[in-house]
Amino acid sequence: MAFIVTPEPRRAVMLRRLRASIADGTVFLLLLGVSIVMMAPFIWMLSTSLRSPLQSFLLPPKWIPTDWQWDNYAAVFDQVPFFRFFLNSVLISGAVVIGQLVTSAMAAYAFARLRFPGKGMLFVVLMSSLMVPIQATVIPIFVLLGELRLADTLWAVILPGWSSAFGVFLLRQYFLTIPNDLEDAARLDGATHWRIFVDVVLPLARPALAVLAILTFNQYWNEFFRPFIFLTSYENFPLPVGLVTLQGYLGNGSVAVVLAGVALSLFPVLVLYIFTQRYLIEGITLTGLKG
Amino acid sequence: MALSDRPGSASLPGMTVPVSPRSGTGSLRGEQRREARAAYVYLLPVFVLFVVFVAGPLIASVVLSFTRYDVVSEPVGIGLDNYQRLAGDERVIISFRNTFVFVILSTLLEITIALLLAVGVQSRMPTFLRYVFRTAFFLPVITSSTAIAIIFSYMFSRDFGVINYYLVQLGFERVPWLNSTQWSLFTIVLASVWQRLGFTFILFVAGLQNIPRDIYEAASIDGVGPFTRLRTLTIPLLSPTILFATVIGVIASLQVFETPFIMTRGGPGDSSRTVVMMIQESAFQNLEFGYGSAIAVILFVVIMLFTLLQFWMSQRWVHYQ
Amino acid sequence: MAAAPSRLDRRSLLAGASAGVAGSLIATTVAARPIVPERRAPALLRQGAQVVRIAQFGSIEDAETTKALFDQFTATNPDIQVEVIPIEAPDWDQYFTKVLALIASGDTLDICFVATEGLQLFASRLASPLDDYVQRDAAQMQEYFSDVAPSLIEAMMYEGSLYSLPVDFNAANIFYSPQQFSEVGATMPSATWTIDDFTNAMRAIAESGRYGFAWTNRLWGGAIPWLFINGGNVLTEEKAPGGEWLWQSFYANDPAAQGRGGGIRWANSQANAAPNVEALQYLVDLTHELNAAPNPAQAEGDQSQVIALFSGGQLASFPAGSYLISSLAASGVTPENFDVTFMPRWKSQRHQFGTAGYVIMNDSLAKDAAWELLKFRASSDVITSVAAGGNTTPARRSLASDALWTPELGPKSYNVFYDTLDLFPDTAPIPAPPPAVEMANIFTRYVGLAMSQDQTPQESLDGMHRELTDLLARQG
Repeated sequence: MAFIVTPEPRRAVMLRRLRASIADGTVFLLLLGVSIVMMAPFIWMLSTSLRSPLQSFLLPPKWIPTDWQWDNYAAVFDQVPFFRFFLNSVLISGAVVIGQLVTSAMAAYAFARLRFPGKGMLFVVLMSSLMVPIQATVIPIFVLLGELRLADTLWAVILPGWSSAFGVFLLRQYFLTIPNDLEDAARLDGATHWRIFVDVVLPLARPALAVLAILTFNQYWNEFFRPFIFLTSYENFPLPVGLVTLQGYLGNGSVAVVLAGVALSLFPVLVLYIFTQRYLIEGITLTGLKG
Repeated sequence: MALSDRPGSASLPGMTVPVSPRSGTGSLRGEQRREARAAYVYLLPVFVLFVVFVAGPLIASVVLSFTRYDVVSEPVGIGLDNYQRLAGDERVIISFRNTFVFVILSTLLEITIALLLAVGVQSRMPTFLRYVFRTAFFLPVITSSTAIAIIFSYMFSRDFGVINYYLVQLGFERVPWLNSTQWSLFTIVLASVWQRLGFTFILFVAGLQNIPRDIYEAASIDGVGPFTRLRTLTIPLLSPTILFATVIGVIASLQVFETPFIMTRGGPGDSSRTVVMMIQESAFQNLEFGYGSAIAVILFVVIMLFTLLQFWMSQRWVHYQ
Repeated sequence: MAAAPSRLDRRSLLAGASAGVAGSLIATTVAARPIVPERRAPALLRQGAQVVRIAQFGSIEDAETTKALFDQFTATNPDIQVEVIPIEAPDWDQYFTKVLALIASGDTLDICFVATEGLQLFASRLASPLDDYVQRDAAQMQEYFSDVAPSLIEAMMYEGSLYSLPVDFNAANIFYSPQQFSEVGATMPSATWTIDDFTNAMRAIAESGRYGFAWTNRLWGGAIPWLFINGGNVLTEEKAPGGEWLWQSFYANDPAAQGRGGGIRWANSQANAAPNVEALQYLVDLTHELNAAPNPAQAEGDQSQVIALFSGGQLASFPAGSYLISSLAASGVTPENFDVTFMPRWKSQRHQFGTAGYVIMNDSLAKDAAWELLKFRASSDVITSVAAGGNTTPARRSLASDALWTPELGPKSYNVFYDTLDLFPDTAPIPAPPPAVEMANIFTRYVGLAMSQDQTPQESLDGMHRELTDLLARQG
């Protein structure tokens, strides 16, 4: 296009630069404002969780903690079996991630690499489950879990999570991008499909597996609806359901203690976020664009 | 927030299953059969679970919706009674209306704000700042809606909340965020947009990075203003991403539950009650499993129709590069 | 779907068929389920002892306390063991829902902790009457009944039968700060105060920039006590026939037991009756005209705010029962800083109470053991140990004394707690027919609409009346 530009008069250039930097400055201030709005609830949560319980809701709010009431954090463990909730969350999310990686990778391998009759149909059928919201099936699943005597056990939440059309889709897309050369070589060496899958494809697919693991872990760590419905006993609650119980009978839990519990439940996610932000964002980008 | 609850399969190109790309050397029938058998074994776990936990329950939902069933005693077939009751149940109708209002408002706000933020972040600034902004915007996405709803239910309190405190300082009246039928649904929208904004933002940033720079450079040299540029260049070029974000946003919003459940309990009255809350209330509070299933079936039909609609739209409007 | 729609007809058909088979299988399993009593597990046996499973409302800590209590019994009765299942919920209605879900998912429970809010829900379909046991052990039971107000017993009856032995109760009384009332020169709350005294005090306190009153929107202690003192109620009250067997054997000489029946029938809605509208209008005005009360939170009120406001000197009074004393003490409120009195007199001074106790489940195969546990739980020692520290009011009159509410714990006027039953024999339980969970939902929803001024009290109570009428008709 227009590679040759007639030189502008100097004043016009300066004016344009000034206008540009004002524009940049405005944009920057706006972005800063939005960032503050995004971070404020977290900061309020932290500082309020450190106020003395009696003052925790008194106004004006304090943004910088002055009381440093770490007792509120200890109280979380006194009032509810917080460690148990934490452990349940780890068990549920961990078990779902492992199960889902195994089943999804296997299915994705078949869809990406193997030839068999009915492939197209099976894939479409499986993908159509993306249209079925959990709310549409939760009632029969509840009844079914009762019949299987799995109601109110961690399995009630784990088992249905083991199959994920999304996981199959994501991994299949990635497997398709892995060149065939290595596989062909392995095949010439007489390797079985299983060996190729385990020794060649899976190691190469590590980034995609990591993305799926992180997304799934995050989803099940935060999940509320199914655990809330399927689990009745205290000792089976994961964190989100446990947090609601921290509010207590008639909401008589202290605001500061409840917020301390919320802060504790967010901590592992924050740590995960710091270490895996790249993967998370890559994962979203990947699913959103390459589709 | 369900990050990997990625629906909207239809919007994803590349769904067509390619024929296996491998150029086999003289494939034997036996080898083919072995390969097919292996494939079925690989697919078995996913499909068993799919049948037990998705397809089967979906059909069972439909079957249950024709019964009266309280779990403690046996189900009784009652034909279309549940659907008849549903059609005349003001509360169910309100919950659908609330859900649609919620979906439209939250998706519109989310897409608009996220788009502006994404374009803003593309402007000249140090990489480090860009990273800081991205981190700030994205943090709420990975936290649980439950935690967010608990925090917000305190912050939005009419009499003791931080937000009203500052509004009063600025000379405004206290807003009954959670205590008024005028406001409650809107407050839920705000909370949920706040939480999901970062997700859409990331999608848009990635989408923008895919747009070749020279298109912009040409435009800027031609003296096109920033808003015209947004309207005539960015939005059309970004349309596949916008559509994808819309689909995900809409389907996630149709399923909203814990934010209103924790912040307002659906109230005042039914002003912030969503369809999923009605399903939960009918089935798991009132033990009317048949009636709850009928509502669930309607929700499923709505989601399916929407998915098909957006697929149809994507073929007409979206401008793939 | 997306790919090759034209070729998919046969395939979708196949897919549909396979899913259909699975669905029908599940549906058949559901339909073919034997009814609950047949598929219940036999009474659990562990090391030769019968295990009684008890559902307990509350935290694990509460469950451990309960377990420790019952273990005192099993220590001397080694053929019975107790397992306590803690069920946590923000309020009773959600607790009942969870218990029902537990039963629905195939769990076997022998005993459930139940309050007035759910007594009829359980009695109508899940619990077993105690009549035979009570009559069998009449000699032993005499001591218990002579110590328990008849209104508590009647609240545990349904259609002529007794379902539970009340262990504690709470009536909605008024807790207040004497300092805050005297500072603004308001009439000090007393047993004989009137609604006008109350209104004037509220106005004066609001003008001083504090809250006069704060309440939570729920069945107990919410709007209903105000309906009661204005002569209203949400549902009609009738006495169910029957129950003479109990009243004649145990309460023959108690005047307060005269005219008691076989439990209360809340058969019809009268939600939009004039006294109800007037009382609800009063509460709306308290918040929006006098600015004397914060808008009550949705459904479960946030009691921590009430306690914090009160202990921080921002609130002069609130409705509560003795269960709140432990929380007040924990917040540093000393007996000099609070006291308790009756609701003010309007058309009457009828109070609202809720009582709690244990029911034996129909399905239980350990009913005899369960009955022994019920009696044990209703004994003086056990009731005292649960109520101690300001946790609740004992159902036994003799225990409601300064041995329980010591001068260090307060309040000075602790006699108000049991006197609410004895001085006002018309004091009534929370209206809670069998569909109590749905009723709680309808009630709080419409009260919320009036309190947020989205509807006038008349409109909201009309709506409540409509839905309650539908509900009671549907549930037959």
